[in-house]
Amino acid sequence: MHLTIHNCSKRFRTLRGTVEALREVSLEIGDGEFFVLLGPSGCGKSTLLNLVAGLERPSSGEIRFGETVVAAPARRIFVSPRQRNVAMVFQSYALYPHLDVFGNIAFPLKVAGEKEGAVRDAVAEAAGRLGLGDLLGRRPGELSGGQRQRVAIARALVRRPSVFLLDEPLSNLDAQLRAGTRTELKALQQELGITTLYVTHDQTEAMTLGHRIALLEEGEIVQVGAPQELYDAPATPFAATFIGSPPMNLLQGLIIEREVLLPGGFLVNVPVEKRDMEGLKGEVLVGIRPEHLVVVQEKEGAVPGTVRMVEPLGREFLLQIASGIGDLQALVEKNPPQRGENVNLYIDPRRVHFFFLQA
Amino acid sequence: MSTESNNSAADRLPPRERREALAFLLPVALFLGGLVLVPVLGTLLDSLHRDVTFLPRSFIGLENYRALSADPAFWASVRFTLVFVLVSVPLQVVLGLLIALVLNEGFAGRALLRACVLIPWAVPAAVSGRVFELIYNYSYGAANWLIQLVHPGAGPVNWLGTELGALAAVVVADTYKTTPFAALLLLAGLSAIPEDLYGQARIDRATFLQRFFRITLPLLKPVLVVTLIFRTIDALRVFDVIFVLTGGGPGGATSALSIYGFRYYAAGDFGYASAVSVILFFISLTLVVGYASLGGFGREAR
Ligand SMILES: Nc1ncnc2c1ncn2[C@@H]1O[C@H](COP(=O)(O)OP(=O)(O)O)[C@@H](O)[C@H]1O
Ligand SMILES: [Mg+2]
Repeated sequence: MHLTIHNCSKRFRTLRGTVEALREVSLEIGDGEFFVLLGPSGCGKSTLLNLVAGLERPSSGEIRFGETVVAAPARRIFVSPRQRNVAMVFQSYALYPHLDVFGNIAFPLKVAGEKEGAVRDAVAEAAGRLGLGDLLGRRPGELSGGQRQRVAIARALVRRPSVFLLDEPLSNLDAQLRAGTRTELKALQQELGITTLYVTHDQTEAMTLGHRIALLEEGEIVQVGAPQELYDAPATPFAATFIGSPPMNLLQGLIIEREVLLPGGFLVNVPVEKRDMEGLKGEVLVGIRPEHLVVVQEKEGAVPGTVRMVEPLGREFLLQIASGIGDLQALVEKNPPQRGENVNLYIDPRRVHFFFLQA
Repeated sequence: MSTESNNSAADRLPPRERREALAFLLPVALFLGGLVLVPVLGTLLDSLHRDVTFLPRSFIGLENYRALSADPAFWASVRFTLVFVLVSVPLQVVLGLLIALVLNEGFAGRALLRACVLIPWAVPAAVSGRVFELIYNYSYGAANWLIQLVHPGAGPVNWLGTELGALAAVVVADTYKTTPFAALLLLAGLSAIPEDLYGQARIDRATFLQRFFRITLPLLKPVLVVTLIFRTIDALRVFDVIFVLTGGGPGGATSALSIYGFRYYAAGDFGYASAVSVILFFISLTLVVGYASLGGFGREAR
């Protein structure tokens, strides 16, 4: 199912005033795509998911499932969730506490009035796929977090939805379980090929799961693209710092002809492919990812700094450095300098990101 | 299942901790014993005596109960009380549920409306009883005025002077007063049901009625049973509304058991009145035990 979200806004009217949860959001999600909505808490991810599910109505804009318009307030069109054939996994899992695992997975089929035999077969298949075969008689209260999450997914998949919606499904699991479930979810989605919209605030999850990611900030889309695109070419300083861990270093700079002046009087060459900023003047934010800062021997052309802290991450070491151009984070793979040591940092101009501040 | 394991766990406690556990239970046991058990046993004992103000108390065995069972007015009271319970309690709980369902929806001014709904419950029964007496007045009451307005041909109804009219009047007055209480209990139960479950049920393509019968009702069942228990016990010992509105009339037609017993207390026949109380107590007890097993309390492991 191909999804189209066109210029959708959502305002909530409360006693305390109007909250603008989404502003003119437009997205195209391909058939069978694993699409991730990424953003910090409160940016409107769940609201967008609820608009697609039909649990909320957009204030303006249009939503299409394939060629069918499912929501268009201007034309007074609204298709209820019952007629959209979406499945959803809530952050809370929303398992029916009074029903056992069988009853929970069977619920969507039973309310549709399916025959008992067909229900039993479908539940057995979905439960088997998620390894819940032995738990069918248990109540949600008697399950672990990971098992509950599987029940929620089994219930979502049991009736072959055309769109699969997940709202932070892994955030209630411990770190180890989360990594394992992430892999399984990805495999499951690949196998079933259901168009999937996945909400998360965790950039690692977004990077590993998504075919494409939409990054949201305060109800607006900042950037849409493949995970590597968002990592390699962040569109805004927010995108630059939100994606990637540890986050990108950002420094104030001043454009002077073909060079950028950094604090402390250091100059960085603007690489050839970024020369289109020629003619631009004024302030710019300069971004450097921690792994692109290289500790070098020669002082010529390098930025001097003092190591404040060394944090071993296992495979690498994270250095907190106070340097001539500001506080920096750098990643080195081996032979880390000692705390308090003076180091020279080389900034590769081809690896530097520039963000222009609007005048 | 869980009760069993709890019991064996208590048995396995070391003696010192068992003594401590008993010490913690003691205040509740004293409270319940002093304020519930002693009066109940006292009443039970008193019902086996001839206890009138002007004679010394003497043990007469079941004589009071024999006299009771021979009194047609007593059986009329039992019948009226049960009819009153069967009519008013379902009415109050269903109305209370409807009000609670509306108040549980999100809309502006909900908090204010919630407070307003409680007002009838806060008004003393004697006061609302007097107001209803005016409403039901034959010649200038609002009830008959309304009937004339809607149905100009119909004559006025003698609300408090006929058997059926008096029953209706008492039920309506009691429902007005106690429905808010049922609504409040049920609202607390409803707001404990997570909103996500309804979103999930809509996604699962359940219709409005399916959501009500497959989610709301089963999850509300424990609270519903508690509400039924409260309302039933209250309705069994209904007194104030009837006392103010009809005084048990016309001709004893609305003489609930509590009114019947009260007449003997007021006349100084404490033994006989105690026997009435004991019977009321056992009717309540039977119903509560029935409800409790219906609600499945103590069986479910949460
Ligand atoms: N039903 C609602 N009423 C009022 N405001 C809401 C409602 N739902 C969400 N909001 C507001 O909309 C914004 C986005 O919320 P949400 O979509 O839940 O964010 P996220 O899922 O990204 O954390 C928040 O500011 C939130 O307070
Ligand atoms: Mg959310």
